[in-house]
Amino acid sequence: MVNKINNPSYMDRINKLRERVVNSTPTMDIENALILTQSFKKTEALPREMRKARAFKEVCSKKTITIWDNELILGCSGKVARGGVLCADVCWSVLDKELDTISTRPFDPFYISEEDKILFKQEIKPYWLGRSNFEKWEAQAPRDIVELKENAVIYIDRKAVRGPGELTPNYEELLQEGMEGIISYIEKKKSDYSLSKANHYPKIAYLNAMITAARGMIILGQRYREEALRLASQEKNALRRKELEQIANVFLQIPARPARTFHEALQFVYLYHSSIFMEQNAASYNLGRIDQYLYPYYKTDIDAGRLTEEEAQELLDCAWIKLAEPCLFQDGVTAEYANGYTMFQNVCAGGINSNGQDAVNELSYMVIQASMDTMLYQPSLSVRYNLAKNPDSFLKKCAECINTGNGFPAFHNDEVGIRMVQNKGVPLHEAYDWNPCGCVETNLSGRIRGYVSADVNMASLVEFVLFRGIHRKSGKLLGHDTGDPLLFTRYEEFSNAIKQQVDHIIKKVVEANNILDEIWDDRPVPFISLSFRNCIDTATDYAHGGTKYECGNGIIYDGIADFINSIAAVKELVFDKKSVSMERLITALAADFVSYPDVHKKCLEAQKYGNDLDHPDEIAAEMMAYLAIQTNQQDSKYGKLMSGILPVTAHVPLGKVIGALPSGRKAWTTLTDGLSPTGGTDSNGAGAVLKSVAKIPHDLFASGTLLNMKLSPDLMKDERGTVNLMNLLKSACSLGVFHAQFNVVDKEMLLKAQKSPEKHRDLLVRVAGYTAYFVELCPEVQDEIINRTIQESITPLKAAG
Amino acid sequence: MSAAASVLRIEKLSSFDGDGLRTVVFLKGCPLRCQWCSTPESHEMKTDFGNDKKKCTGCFECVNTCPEQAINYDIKKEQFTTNMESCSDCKKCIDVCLEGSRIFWGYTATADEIFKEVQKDSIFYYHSGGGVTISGGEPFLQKNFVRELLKKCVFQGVNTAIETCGHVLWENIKFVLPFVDTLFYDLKHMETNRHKKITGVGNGLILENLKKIDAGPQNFPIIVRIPVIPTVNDEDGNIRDLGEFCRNLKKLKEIQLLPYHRFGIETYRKLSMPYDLETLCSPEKEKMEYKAALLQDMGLTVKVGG
Repeated sequence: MVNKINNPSYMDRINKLRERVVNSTPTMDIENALILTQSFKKTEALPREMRKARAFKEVCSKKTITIWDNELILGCSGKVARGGVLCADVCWSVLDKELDTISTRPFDPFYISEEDKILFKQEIKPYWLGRSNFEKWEAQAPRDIVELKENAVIYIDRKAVRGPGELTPNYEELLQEGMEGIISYIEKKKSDYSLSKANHYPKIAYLNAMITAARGMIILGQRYREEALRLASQEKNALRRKELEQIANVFLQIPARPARTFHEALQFVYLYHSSIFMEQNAASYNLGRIDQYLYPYYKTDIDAGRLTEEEAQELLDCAWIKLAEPCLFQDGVTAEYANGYTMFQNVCAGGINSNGQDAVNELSYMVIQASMDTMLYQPSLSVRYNLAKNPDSFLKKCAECINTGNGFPAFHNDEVGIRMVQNKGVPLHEAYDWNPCGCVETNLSGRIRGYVSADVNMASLVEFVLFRGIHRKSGKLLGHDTGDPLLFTRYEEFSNAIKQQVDHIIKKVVEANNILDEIWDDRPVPFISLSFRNCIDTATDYAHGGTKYECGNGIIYDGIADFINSIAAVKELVFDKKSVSMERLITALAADFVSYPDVHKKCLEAQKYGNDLDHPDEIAAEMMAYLAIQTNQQDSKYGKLMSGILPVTAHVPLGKVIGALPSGRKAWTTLTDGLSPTGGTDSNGAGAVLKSVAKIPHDLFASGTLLNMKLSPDLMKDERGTVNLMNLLKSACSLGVFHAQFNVVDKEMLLKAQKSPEKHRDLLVRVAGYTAYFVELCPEVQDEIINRTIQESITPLKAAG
Repeated sequence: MSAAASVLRIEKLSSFDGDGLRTVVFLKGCPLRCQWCSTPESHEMKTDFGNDKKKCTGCFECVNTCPEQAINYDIKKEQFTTNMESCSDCKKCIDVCLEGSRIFWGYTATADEIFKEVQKDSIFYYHSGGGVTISGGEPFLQKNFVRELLKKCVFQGVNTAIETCGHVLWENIKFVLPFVDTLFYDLKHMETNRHKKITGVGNGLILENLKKIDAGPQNFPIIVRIPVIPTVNDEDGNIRDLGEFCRNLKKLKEIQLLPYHRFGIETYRKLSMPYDLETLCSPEKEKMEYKAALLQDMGLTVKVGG
């Protein structure tokens, strides 16, 4: 294990770099969109994939490139560091609609200059009008789907307002081959095709597009080399001059040729990563298992004596700062569903290797240390912890990072992750290599495609059963009429009605997905496809089914605790104890419990999920298994659908349309995030929460499951606290919980931050599967974080008594 | 028939009452009335009733509903009080309180039921080397229940610990000891008159029982816990005297000095019970370390905190 140096010298540089990121304002960046538009105007006659590749190459050749002070790792998707990069072909209309409001909107505002607004209106809008995916989706969505999404029963625009994302390039291959190596590989594949044969032309044209995209990246690399040399020639400080020359040397090798050193490899990775956003801006482009594919370069450098541990850490930290720069551009509504600007760039440490054995190495610790050094909300640091194989020292490093309160790492149970990927149709030996994606999804570098497309509001389903398909907020019939609940004489009739609502809503999402799948086909990504070998081998784009493994879209289920607690309360009060009649319950719910305080009391006191109690937890197990199995058997163009529980911040807007629930929740308030118990109802402590959460069959939710737990900072203030947390994490793994992430922040600190946000700009919190600046979140999300029950019971201050 | 007991509550994932992560079963009923006690709701074996003024709207529903007319409003204290002599534990007052301000502490459960609850956390015991701890109140008062519960635990591989004030019949202790893996024994003062003043009873039986346990055939470790209550029992002389007594214990593993705290103050208010130490402050860390050093100088192993 790596022993940390106290106050390492490189922290001076890292702090300066960090300062620049923390103090910059998220800004709309339309430079790429302008270049893309100009390019598209010139390429009307070319095949669609080639047009995209040409535009990408143009962006590489013309975009502004900047090397900021003190940087060792370079790259930027756009012109400004904290930029929201606009991809005109995907979603120009989103910016058009919000041009005058995006600077001041409540969720994730972006500054945009008046000058850029004019450029947008004159140059971008006229060309793309009617051509973006978002417009196509708006035009083609059936009326009933539109009703469901407008009333927040489902949310399904997410992937129409930006690229689908959720992928992990095969960096191991890229580093070993370089862009020139990949071009030769493509050339070789091209020789398998002949223009004289039927249907071979599209294949050849596609491979040509890939080569064009690869050449674009080589040009970008050359431009960074030239810029570094230019700055070096003007640099007065000898030390910085040497650094710039060294950087220029790095770009002499990469990205054209294979990386030889740790610095070259890391720079190559970041350059490729930042270039993906230029082709298609999206969330969840993952760096994946960085401790694995960078390790050979690190080891070689260390063994050869040309790199010290400290220098390697400095380079990693520099890359971490770069990863904190990009801001996710999306529409205001989607921003409400996932706010905090985060790009969900997931980096992973730990897990097992291709032989199924412990994969932890020195870099695994350094990757965690990078998040501890930089204390930023991006990248999303994840660990794959394998209870049987990974050492305790690695788990301890995870616990120490959790203890810093930066919200990282997202802790993933390796065995469950492996099973989830297997459940996507990947053979076991390849599933060993899985990596976390986005917040808690599962992925496989360079081999798999599949992403979540929709959110389903589970609380709506309870409402539809109790009110015969009526959506109370709108008064419209949006659900299925499952019969008069007053006639239900047994719990089974009620639970069957719930299941019918589940079936109905899944059917609606499947219908929407089938349309979206067709629209998404219009969006080839030849540059991304370079890192998916099967795309080259079959000369088929990533977007057109070129990857080795394909999955259908994932459906996210939100408001799980509200759903379970409501069903459990109906069972307990109406059917088991018969202490409230169905009629009285429904009347009380319709009145938001006003004038029915006795019913409200009973609803609130009914047993709740999250306390390791058999009654609600059995319902959780039954309903969640049903949900996953029903989802997972749906067919689509690209395979079976997937299910997941990862609300991001969707539980906030989804709650606004839901009336009072049998759980005792009042009307129009926030729902509960992820798998967590509802705040204030999990009074049996962290262990009971884990036990209840474990009653849900995590493995069946191949898109991942998310658990947030907030831990009081004094929990881990001494050595024993860290050990307690380690034991808790091991227990969570034994129980089969897939993921847990922790907020180690105290309530007072959050309240102070709400009062004076300017003083708490860098206060990090876990939102739901990701970490964000607390002061940048909307007040509702802030309140919810504050109100989540603080799990202090692990280490109460024991004293006399 | 599984033995029943009056249980106060079960605390999960505790890391302060024995090794690892533990489930602590608090029983009701205690022969002592220590001035500093932070769990006054554990004193009586029967159910306690209280009121949370922060939530109470003063609707008087509890008063009006009580069939025994056991609830009164104390104008001076501005608080509802319960006459425990006449209370029949029917809990109707709890049912009618819509604000949830009316509270009760305690319930009856069998060893079987509690064992089921204890087993729920076996995965945490497994990874942390934890187990179950019986605390109180004074657990040895309910010896049949405790013996049965601990026996079940031992026979299923769950590590056991028990915390006692020692002021119970020797027969009760002896009856349970075969199933104890770790014993926490609380000592407060070596001077019996002073002990009587601050806890309500003399220390004779307590010291005698500890000597008997130490001389007994079992091999479990004993951890002596001394609460450090400023101006009440924290004089250097007393600490040294307690240390001197402990030095003769063969099974002593360590002494834990527990700093006085005021977490219980709100419960006193809810119970409408007077709290004698209203103005007393917790000892500083330095003071605790100083007291620990007194004992360490005598060659004893000492830890501050549990």
